[in-house]
Amino acid sequence: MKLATRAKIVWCPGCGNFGILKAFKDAAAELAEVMDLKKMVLVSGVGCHGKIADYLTLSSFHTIHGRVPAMLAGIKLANPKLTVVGFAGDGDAYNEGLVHLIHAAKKNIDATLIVHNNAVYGLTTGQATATSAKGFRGRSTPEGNPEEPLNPVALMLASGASFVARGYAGDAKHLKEIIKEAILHRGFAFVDVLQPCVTFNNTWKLYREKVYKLEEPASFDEALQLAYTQDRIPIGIFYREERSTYEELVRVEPRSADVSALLERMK
Amino acid sequence: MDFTFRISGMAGDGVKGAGLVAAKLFARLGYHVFVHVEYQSLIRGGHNAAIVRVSSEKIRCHEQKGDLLIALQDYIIPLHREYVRRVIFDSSKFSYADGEGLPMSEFAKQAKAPPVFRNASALGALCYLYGIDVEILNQIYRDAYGEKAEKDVILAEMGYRYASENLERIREVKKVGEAKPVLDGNQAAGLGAVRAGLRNYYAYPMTPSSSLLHFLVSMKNELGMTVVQPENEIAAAVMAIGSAFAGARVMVGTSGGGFALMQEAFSLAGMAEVPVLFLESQRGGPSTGLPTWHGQEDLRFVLHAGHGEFPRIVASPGDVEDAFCLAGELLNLAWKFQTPAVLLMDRYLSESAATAEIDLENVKEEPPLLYQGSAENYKRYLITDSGVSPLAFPPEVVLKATGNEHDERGFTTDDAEVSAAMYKKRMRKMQGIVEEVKQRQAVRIFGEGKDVVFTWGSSTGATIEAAQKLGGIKVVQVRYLSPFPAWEIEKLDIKRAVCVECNYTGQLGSLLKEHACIEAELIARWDGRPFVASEIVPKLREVFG
Repeated sequence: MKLATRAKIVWCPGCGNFGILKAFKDAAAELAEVMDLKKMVLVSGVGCHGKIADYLTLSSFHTIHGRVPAMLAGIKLANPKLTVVGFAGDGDAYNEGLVHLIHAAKKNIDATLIVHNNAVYGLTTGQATATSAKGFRGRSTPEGNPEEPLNPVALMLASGASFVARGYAGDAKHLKEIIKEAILHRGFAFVDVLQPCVTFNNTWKLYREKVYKLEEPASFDEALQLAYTQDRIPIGIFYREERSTYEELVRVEPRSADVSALLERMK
Repeated sequence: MDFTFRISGMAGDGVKGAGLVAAKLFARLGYHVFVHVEYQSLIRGGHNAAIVRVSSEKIRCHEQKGDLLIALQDYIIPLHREYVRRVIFDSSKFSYADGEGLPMSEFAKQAKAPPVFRNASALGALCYLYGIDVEILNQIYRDAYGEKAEKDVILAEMGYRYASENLERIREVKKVGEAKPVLDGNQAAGLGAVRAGLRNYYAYPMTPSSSLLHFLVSMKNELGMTVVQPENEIAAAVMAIGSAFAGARVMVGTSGGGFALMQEAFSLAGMAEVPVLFLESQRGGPSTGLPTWHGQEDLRFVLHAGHGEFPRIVASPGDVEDAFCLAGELLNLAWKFQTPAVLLMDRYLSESAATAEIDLENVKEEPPLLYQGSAENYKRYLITDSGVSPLAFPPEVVLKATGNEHDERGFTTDDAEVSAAMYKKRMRKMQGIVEEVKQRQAVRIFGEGKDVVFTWGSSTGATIEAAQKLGGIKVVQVRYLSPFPAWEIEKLDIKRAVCVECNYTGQLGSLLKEHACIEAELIARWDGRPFVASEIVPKLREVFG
């Protein structure tokens, strides 16, 4: 199946999004052997990352800012046979729609969420997000970001995500494997992707130096400890567990309702 | 025969439940009933009341004056005393010189039942007071609770016996017809939507919409429905859009504050052409306002909700039967035109239970325009004369939807020509909606006369009853608000016009002026209380002479 569309890709040359797009395409191509890609539905949020929906020949909903996890849940609650994959930005997932992210993890919606985390608002030209480093000089923080950055991996572990991973846009091959595992995972699979923004927050050098691949930790406690690693940045799968998904617990199979019997009982 | 009685106590006394059981008692004898509940935003203490009106004729609102107050607390009596002839009070809890005692709490103790069960003894006494066989009450308990009804039955009989020995009967109420179902506006709207194929319901708790969430979730297996309470209202709206995109008929329930939070998603549904029915039940505002009280203040808000321009369908039902029909109709129309619709309810309609004659045949699932062609050629946003593009869903087709402006296949664009054409395609649907609504009941007219009273939502009931008392007055319930049915209003022969609504600025009145050049005298209230007919009568007399 051809995955590329005719849409012109309008990311900046050298953008980390290219690595994520390549990793996803390669993952999808390999997954096509075990699943029907026609059953895959993508949801993207608002920001540079959101354009990814236009670049793939799969069903998609380019939704509003921050709401990707809620829309993934809605699609899955209507048709659990669909495989749903969300793409969100850091401003999208960790600022505007943080509540949805936490609750999607807590509910264990059977969905994958890939966060293009470039630690800056790119499309609005360079303001600080929840994951911007302390001291980051953006257009809204000319004196340096006064806030400490959020730790998405720790947050997702604490929120009950049943699959927690971090990838790096600069290693598309490694990221492809993570994305494959995430999509095959039954439950909420969270993938934070370190993604340099060449224009507003160029972190290529930083990540090249600090990123290292981890062996999958054996326990939740170890995963949590790893999430707080200082100085170096581990990438890979931090944690996974099997538990019931939200749809399995709450979805009721449609049937034709006998309203007249119900009205009879209201007498 | 037309009479009213009240049950009042504090929150936690089971006042609302007792009012409903009392209503069913008369509904089983074939009477029309209407139950208005008053309560405050607290869980224990305060003041709760159920006002139950019973009539052999169709009734459309509650009335203040009545036979009787059943008082479960002493401090609530002054709030009701002026409206009732007699007070029956719990004489094992307190004394009240101007009333007649019934040792309800003592009975509950004797029956080894929790204190809240004392209501059953009060309802047993009520049976005696109205000359009703207590067995009918016992059966209501048995139908509701099965074997667990035992204590209620014992207490009902204790109350009945005590009343027969110590209290004077008010009147004899005989069976006049077959049992009627008793349901409130929220339940009726829910069932109407179910009849039109509702599959998923999303709601974050907010009075006065919450009771629908409770009702549907309790019936979800029987109805074959998925009912979800998400993390907040924004999630409710977005989940609904996701579900409808995937092919399920959905409804979102909320009140004004929650609907305010859904604005961006409401606009997304307009842009992406996703059919979602929003049930917005108004309460007294602005802001948190009067959280458990009535209001009709969100009409202009809903008509202008969301940013940008897109077609919307907004309608407001006037009573329980109307809520059933209109909820189903709007869900069908949302799918027919692939655009958001709002069922604009209000607290008085949502939470007042009444006997209703629901004709299930009034609502059926109407099929939307479905795509028949080959999957490769599918264009979600195909430009058509009607503006409606055929629907298809994954995995049958590759479906691309977006909140950005887009081309026919759903790819983002900012091309001026494509954008303008797509915008026009969406707006063109409004013409079809107008033609469609012309075929349906855009207004309901009650009575005859050149003195015309316009009203909407639950104010319709009291307005009709007031007009009937005076005679020679035509009442027009404006049912559809978007599109506004100027074509119906222009047909009216009007000498003098009045508008009755529960808001300060006269929002329906302003629409009448805007769309039909009608200057209507405003009869309004904004104190959280719904109109009753006896309050409207003198106001109408003042205007019409």
